[in-house]
This record gives sequence, structure tokens and C-alpha cells, in this order.
Amino acid sequence: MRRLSYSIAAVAALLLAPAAIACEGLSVEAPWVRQPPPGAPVMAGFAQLLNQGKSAITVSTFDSADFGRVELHRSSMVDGMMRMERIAALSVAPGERVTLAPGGYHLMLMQPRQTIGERTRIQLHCADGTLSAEFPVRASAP
Amino acid sequence: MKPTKAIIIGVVAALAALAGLVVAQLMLTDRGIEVSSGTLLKQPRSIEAFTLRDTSGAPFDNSRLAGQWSLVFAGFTFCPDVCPNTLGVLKSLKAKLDEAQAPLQVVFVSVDPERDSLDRLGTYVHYFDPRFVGITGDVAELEKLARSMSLVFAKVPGTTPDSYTMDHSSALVLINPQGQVFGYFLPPHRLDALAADLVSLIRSPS
Repeated sequence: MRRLSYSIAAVAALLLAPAAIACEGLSVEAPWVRQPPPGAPVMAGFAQLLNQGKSAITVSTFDSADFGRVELHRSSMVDGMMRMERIAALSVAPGERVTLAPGGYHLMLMQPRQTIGERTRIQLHCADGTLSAEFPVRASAP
Repeated sequence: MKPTKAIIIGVVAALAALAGLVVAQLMLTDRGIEVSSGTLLKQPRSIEAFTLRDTSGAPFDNSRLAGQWSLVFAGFTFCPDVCPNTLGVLKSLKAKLDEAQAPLQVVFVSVDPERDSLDRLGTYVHYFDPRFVGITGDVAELEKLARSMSLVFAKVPGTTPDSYTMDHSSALVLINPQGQVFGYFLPPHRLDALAADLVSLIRSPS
């Protein structure tokens, strides 16, 4: 029994550790996910990424237990055309704040595994680990 | 060529250009209705015959654009950012026009029939306003409508075969009660200006 609790503790430590030490200096501010129409196949997540560290931080991948795939996309208007492109990695310079907002950068939340209620949790993966943030579901920007 | 001759030709060319500008200006304003939020065509343009389906499965062809003003927006339901944003604006717009008793049919045309079933499209569009009309159909028919409305759309491959996206025109297309393209509104949409322009157009005797 004691052995089992040690194992659980070890696994828990492994799971929690990256969130505690990773993406040093990076914070996720004002996160939100747009309330989708019922049955929407994709949702969009927005936030501000602030780097208060001393070196640039590159966020390369994202994931969430609620979605099959999470990608960073950017909407843009070019010659009257609405475009959406995937951004492979986002680098945030020291002191820089990158805004993910409607009409620009957004997290593309694909293949929802269930109906998303009031919130969802999204992980940002940096070179040195993972930052986890809770995104409330809202009709419009906070 | 003598210098004086060159100067005369230059002056004549400049005068001609100026005259052209004046004429263009007169032609652009000769409708007498100015809009601050978009562009009206000098000459409304007819739409070639097309047949799509609305989300109830009924045919949606040119006749469904006749007898009322319509605003058409092209998009797709796998569009999580710009399309819900624009449909949100259209929802607020519709409420303002209701208040002003200016009837307007709002049509969302999905340019992604591969993934947008009529069911999925209906649920998506009616979430914003149950009176909004969602339409889609064969790509060939969509292209006819797009061509007439000067809209473009193109499939852009994604990281997996099912995660492709669509580039599409961002314009709202205004159709007059004769079923002709009447004007365009480009983002960013300013709700109040758009509503004021549409109310004066829809309520003006034609």
C-alpha cells in the first residue's frame, strides 16, 4: 500500500513538475475561448502571452485533453481575401506581449472530444517544458 | 519634338486626365445615395442562374434573391474566428434593422460543401439568428454564384487531409430586390454605419 502511494506521488510529481518550472517568465493573460455555435467542429482560443523573462521563449506546440488537436493559426485579410494560416512556432521576445485576438492570431481547437462547458485547459509547450492555462468560455473578449 | 510642342501635349494630357477624374466623380455619385460603410455599383449587375440548397433542403436559386434586399456572406463552419465574428456582427445588424423596420434577408453561403452538411450548416447559422438562411451545394454551382458576385474561394491544405482551410472573400454582398448585385461592404465592419446605410437604402423608394 505504501509502495503504491509512493508510486502515485512519483507520477504526480512527474505530471506537475513541468508546469511548475517550464516556460520560465512566460505568462498567459486574459485567456478565453469563444462560445461556439452548437456542434461547431472547431473553436478559437485567445489570450495575451507575456514574456517577463530575460530570454526569448518559443512556443512550438499546444495541446488539450478536450481536443484532438490544437494549432496556432493566424487570420489575415489580403486583397479582400480572408486567409487562415498555420503558424509553426511563436517566439516571444523578452518584455514582449503577443496578443491572440479575433481577426489575428488564435488557437485553433479542433476535434472536440466532448461538449465544452464553461472552461477548458490548454497546454503550451516551450523548449524547456510546459505551461498550462485555463481558458474560460465566453461570448466575447474579456 | 520641339519643347513647346511637348509642353502643349503635356498640358492637353493633364487636362484630359482631370476631365476624366471629374467625369468619374460625377458617375460615381450619380445614384444620389452615398454610403459611408461600403461601395455601391454604378450599375447593378445581374447574377447568372444558379441552384443551391438551403438548410431545410429546399432549392435556393435566383428567385430566392428577388423581392427583398439580401446581404450575402461566404464562409464555412470550420472557420472559428472570422466567420463567427462576422455572423455576430450580422446578428446585431439584423436587430438594428428590425427596430428600423427595414427588412433584410441574411444569407450565409458555405464554400465548403465537403465538410458542411446542410444539418451542420443549419445548426451553425441558426445559432446566430433562426431567420438567417444557410445555403451550399455543388462546387460548380457555388462557383457560378461566386463569379457573379465577384467572390473567390480556395481550398488550402492543412496538416492532415481533414484539417484543410478555405481562403474566402471577406466582403458582404448587397443584393437588391431585383436579385442583382448592388454593392459591397468590406471589413472591418462598423455596425452603426452599416445599419444606417442599409436602413436608408432599404427604405428609399426604388
